[in-house]
Amino acid sequence: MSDKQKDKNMTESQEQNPKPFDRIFYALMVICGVLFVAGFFTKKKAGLAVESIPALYVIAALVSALVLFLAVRIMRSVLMRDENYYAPKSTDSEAYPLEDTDRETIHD
Amino acid sequence: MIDVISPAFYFLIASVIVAFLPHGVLRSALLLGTPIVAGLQILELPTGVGGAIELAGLTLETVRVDKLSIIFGLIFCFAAFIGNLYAIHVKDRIQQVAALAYAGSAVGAVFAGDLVTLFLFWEGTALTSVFLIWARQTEGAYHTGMRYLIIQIASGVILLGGVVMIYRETGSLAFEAMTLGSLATWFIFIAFGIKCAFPLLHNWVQDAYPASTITGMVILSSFTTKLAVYALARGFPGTELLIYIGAVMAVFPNFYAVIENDLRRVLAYSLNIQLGFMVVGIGVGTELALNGVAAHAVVHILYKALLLMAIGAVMFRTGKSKATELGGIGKSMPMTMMLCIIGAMAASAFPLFSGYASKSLITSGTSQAGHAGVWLALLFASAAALYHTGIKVPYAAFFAKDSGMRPREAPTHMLLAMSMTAFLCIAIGIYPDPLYALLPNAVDYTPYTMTHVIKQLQLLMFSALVFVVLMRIGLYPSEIKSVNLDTDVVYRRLLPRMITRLRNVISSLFMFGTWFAKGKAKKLVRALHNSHGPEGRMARVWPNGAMVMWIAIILTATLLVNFVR
Repeated sequence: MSDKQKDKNMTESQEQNPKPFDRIFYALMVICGVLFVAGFFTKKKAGLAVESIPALYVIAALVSALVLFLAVRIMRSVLMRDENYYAPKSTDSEAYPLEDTDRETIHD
Repeated sequence: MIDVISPAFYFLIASVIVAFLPHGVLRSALLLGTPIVAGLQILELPTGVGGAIELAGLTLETVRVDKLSIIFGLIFCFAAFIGNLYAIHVKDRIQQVAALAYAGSAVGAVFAGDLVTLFLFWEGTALTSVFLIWARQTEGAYHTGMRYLIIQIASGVILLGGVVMIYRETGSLAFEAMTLGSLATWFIFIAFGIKCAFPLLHNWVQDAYPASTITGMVILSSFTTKLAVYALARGFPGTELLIYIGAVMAVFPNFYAVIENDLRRVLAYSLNIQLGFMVVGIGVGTELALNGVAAHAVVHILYKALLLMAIGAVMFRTGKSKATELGGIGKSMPMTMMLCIIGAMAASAFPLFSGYASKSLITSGTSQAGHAGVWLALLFASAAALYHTGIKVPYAAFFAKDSGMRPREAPTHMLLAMSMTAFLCIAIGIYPDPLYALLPNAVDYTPYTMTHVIKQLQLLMFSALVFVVLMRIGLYPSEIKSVNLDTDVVYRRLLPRMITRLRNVISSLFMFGTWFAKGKAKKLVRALHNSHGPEGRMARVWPNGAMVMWIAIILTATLLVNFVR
């Protein structure tokens, strides 16, 4: 996909508004803080050696996010194509048939 | 030997009747009543093998009843009921017949006592399910359906090859646990692997399922892949290779799910990931892990159907399923939104939701078996699932940037189907004992310990925190109108292009050969024309004198030869 096309698609994509996330962010900070402390009071499981690492699940969550979102950035630059790349032999760029839906709309 | 008929026949007979019934109460009653009757029959089935049928000199055992087949049979019946209830508004007879026959084939396969019966129902699922894709009636759906059908039929043909070889090797057609080793067992393993969406064989799921109709995908998501999980659990429990295959399945599709724009395809990738968990459990093969496989198959059918029904309801009202085209719909579809969130929480394995009660059986089984690397891979997959299935799907559809659309709430029958499924997602989460009682082995496991709950919440809440932080600073990957190349690019683009190029080369060689042969032929014709043509030497009219002279010469030579002798 060309850069121009990417830019065009980006403008069509959903721009995120950070404001609604503020309250959720603070709430999650509190919850995560409590869970982090609570983790030190849990029983050590006699399982895998790796399970005895302190705050393993916290580390796993953060490392997973790091790996996932870094990989995703690279993947997009390599693997992303225009929506009609496989057209007409795919449904990617087709509209869903009208007769199979019931598109009733209410108005504010 | 037990004297029973396979519950599959209820579905198959009903599908034939539905084909001739006019649209109305009777047809709807049959669509909803058949899974209930079949489910009740399954509960009454005695344990054992039976339902013998003679076919081409072989005695087929169409029914084998044990706890593994019962749990899969029951959830298939429930999935058929929910799917048909959700689709009760559909008037398309082909979809209704296909849905019943498809469910019947899947039920028949899980009760199959031998490999030939398994093969027949295995192919049955392929042939019936494709109509749920073609029913979309667009060019894209037609081509997608063809690709799907080829792959599904290929799986059946490979299975048949394995069955024939097994029969030649052992003289038995019994469908029992096998050890991977001979060519026959590899054939059967690969056939199961295709339907189970093993890595590199997985793309038919993400290609075909989102191309089906709104109601079709709800039904499709329940049967084929879970049938393959059942077949692997029956045929190859404890096969170590499956642990690593499952780990790849649980990790690899997460990256695609995060960047995929079509929410139904996100759920198809998510389905693939959860299959990975089940495959790991089969590979581990302990009682705990196999219990986890059966439990997670049940739970996954429920919450995946719920999510697909919710997104399907949005699609039904808006005609759209892409993240870039949706957003803010929760305001006008609040009940669908709530039900979708319940499905998302079950999928993310939040405590008190069904995914927690089933997934932890598999992860604990993996941990107990000492597979640290695979266990960490499953931990990664659990964290990643929160991003795409737990947050992205409901967020993109019902929250996010307001699309301006204000569709009506989903129809009552859809809400009813979703509510029943959501109820089970919560009920199993809160009180998993009835589910555990149905599992193949005795369950000695307590999911709700303080340690386990806190660790699971740590994983989920810290992942949620990362999501919120990334959204606040604008680093979360935006939804973009696009397709992402997966391994199917090989057979959808590269191979056709290679074949086209090869055809061009062969065509050029043929043209050159033709031109060369034509040139040679022309020269030959010209030479013949020169010698034998009207002006040729051979066609010249010779004078009588010359002829007499030549005859005299030949006569003289003959006399001389005779004289010398």
